[in-house]
Amino acid sequence: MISFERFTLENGLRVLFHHDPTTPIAVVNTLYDVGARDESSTKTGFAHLFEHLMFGGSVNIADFDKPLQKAGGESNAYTSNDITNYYDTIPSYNLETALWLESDRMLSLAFTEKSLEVQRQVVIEEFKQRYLNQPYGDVWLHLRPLAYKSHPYKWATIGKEIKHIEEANMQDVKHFFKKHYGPQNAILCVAGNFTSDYVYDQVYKWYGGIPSGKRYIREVEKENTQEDFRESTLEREVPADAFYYAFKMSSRKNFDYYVADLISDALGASKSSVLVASLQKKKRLVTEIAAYITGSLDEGLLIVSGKLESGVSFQQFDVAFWKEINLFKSISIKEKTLNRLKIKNQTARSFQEQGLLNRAMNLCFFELLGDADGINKEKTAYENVSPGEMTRVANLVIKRENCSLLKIKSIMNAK
Amino acid sequence: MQNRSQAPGIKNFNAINFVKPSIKNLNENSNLYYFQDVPNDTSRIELYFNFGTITGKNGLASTMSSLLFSGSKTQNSLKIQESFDDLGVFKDVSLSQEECIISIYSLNSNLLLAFDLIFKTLNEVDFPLKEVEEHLSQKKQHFEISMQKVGVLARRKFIEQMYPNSSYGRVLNLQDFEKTTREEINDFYQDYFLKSLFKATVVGDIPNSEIDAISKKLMHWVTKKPIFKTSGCVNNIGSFLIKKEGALQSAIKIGLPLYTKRDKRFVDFNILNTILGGYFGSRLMTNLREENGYTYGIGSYVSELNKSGVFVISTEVGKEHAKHAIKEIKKEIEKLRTELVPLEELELVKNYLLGQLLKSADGAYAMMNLYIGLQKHAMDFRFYEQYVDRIFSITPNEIRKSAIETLDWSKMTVVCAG
Repeated sequence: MISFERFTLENGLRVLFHHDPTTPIAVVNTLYDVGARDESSTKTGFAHLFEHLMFGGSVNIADFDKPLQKAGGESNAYTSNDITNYYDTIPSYNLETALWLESDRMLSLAFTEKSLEVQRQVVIEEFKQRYLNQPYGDVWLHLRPLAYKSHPYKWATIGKEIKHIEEANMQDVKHFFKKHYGPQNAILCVAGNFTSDYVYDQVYKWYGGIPSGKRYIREVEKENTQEDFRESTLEREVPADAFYYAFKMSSRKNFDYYVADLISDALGASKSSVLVASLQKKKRLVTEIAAYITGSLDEGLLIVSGKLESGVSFQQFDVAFWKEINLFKSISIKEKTLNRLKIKNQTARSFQEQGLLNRAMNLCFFELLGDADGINKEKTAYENVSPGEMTRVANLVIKRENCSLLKIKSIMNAK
Repeated sequence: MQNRSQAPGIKNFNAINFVKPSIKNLNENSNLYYFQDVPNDTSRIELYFNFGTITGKNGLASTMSSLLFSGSKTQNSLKIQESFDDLGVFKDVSLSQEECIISIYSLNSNLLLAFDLIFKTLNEVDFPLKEVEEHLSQKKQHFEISMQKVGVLARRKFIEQMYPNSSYGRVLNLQDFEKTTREEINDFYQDYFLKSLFKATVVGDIPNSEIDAISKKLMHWVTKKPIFKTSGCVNNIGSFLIKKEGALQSAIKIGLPLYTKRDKRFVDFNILNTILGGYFGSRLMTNLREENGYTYGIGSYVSELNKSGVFVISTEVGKEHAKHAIKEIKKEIEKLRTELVPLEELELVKNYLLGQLLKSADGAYAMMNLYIGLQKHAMDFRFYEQYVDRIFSITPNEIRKSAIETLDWSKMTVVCAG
């Protein structure tokens, strides 16, 4: 059970306080309700580039990191297709330094040309390091537009192409800040060994004066129901053929999300999972195979990916794959097997909640979903998944007409 | 409204409450270290075995440790995995040059069952031929994929040049595991795994009776031999280039042999290293990333073995920037050897290190990791008490002295792959 208190400032900032009497460290987590799905299709990668600019100095403070480090703290952030999340960890006696810094960049940025110019370069190097200069690194750049035709999930957080990042200008930056970075679009969580009065006073002191802006109303293009199987093949200089079967699944707030999560575990999370046991261990068609979900807020993906054993063709694998899937869909999962998935899921969540930072991040995330207390209800949600639900959702999701298949064909030997 | 351009006052801690784990003697060479005061339902066991990549024929340690759960005469690998899954347990095997660590993560209510299962499984492992073949074929593919990464190419070359003519400098090659036989694997298991446990840790809210039960079983595995390691190295100095067609970035590794925590110069060097490349605001990050945009990230650290350490600077930069990047790294090192660190920067780094120390001692898991890092070098928490004192007292002159003594460019191994 993760306890919390909640209050909202007049400017619309939603604030959560989580009390942990055992730690000398404090966490300040700020979630902004903006991600790559809020970008325009001609300016992709911007939400993430913007995240970098948030460290380039704010209206009253020239440098974000230095004062925080001087107070013994450190900071980082991440951007997804859905959200942008900033977090600071700092000795609790210096909490105020983190609030001072975070509130000032919520008030306004410094908007220096130098920072924009350098961070464009840094992000381009990040693009190369993570997506272009790695074997199989560009898969998501191609899988997303195959699976999504209208929803902005069709581009990756890093952006469609380097060109979009090169073209980002200061006017875009200012406009983006105004649209997405006000207190009305943010959720703040303070976690640590404090009294709630102290947290309220400190938050009010630093954030109370930030003017509210217009609440952003999200209008993303809805994805039409997929009706046909899609397929695409890329040739790459990689040692092994690889496959990515992507199936549309429910949005994050739907109960089916939990069912699909357990289905992915049943199919390909460990050596005892269905596809690993049959296609890897028994039939030796693949050297690795895994199943997982993207965890997106809107309609997400359940992915089965892996690499073929040398000498095995895509066609050979495909036949065996669907045979296993059809078997999985037609026979109800045993209670014993389902319980196995549930207890593993519970262990993983217990370890996650063990860290203060994760608790603060999760509270903000669930508050965005509608109620921070949702984090405490997940356990029951997973426990409530029945064998019948597993079969129902498997039949709904894992079918050919709901599938986008990306194949990476090795052309190593062609040279 | 408050004055926003004025930073709030900052404080430093008065003291950190370092807590030593409880200790149970397994034999004259080995102990079980444990913390039972954990405020949640998570728990962890870590088992330390006295073999690593330096042990035996090249590649065998890695193959054998990957196959520890491959099955016995009575249970195949699938059944074994199912038994672990029934308990909701996660396990991990990690191998470094000198040691192999097996970790178990479990809810505390299942920890003893999980341990019993590990104990039984690892005692009975039989390395079925089918599993061995499957693993080697998998490993071959992973190897071929990893060889496409500039970071991997650079790391391999760096290790080879840092420890020439030594088993510490070995890297895997295809033929090392292509010709591996089941008998070799089994022999390695008999010779180096069984009876080689030299340390174990438990973190978790479990009763004394379970600690007793775990330690009793561990006594079957403990090594009779004292742990003795000689890991000194004499690196090949100079530049080593590896060409990779079509690479968009170059991986750079620069470094030289150094000492460990046991050396009284270590703390000074650690503070110096923080300034150079040990945190987000470091000189290398500021220069190469924040001023020049050459890279997504750069860092420097000391990799500690039992008897020696290696200082490493590591980054991946745009291919066209590689030459400039190395030049700038050299420049930053020269600057630390010739100019005094400004007091303001030093104060920042001091406070940063104190805050990070507080964080790395937060909670039972962190405290255990911190303690084991000391125990490895036969030290205790007095090290960190002295460390805190030294952070407060060190001067810019002493930082420069450490830089002059250690960061000598003419003694560096410089590797660039891309």
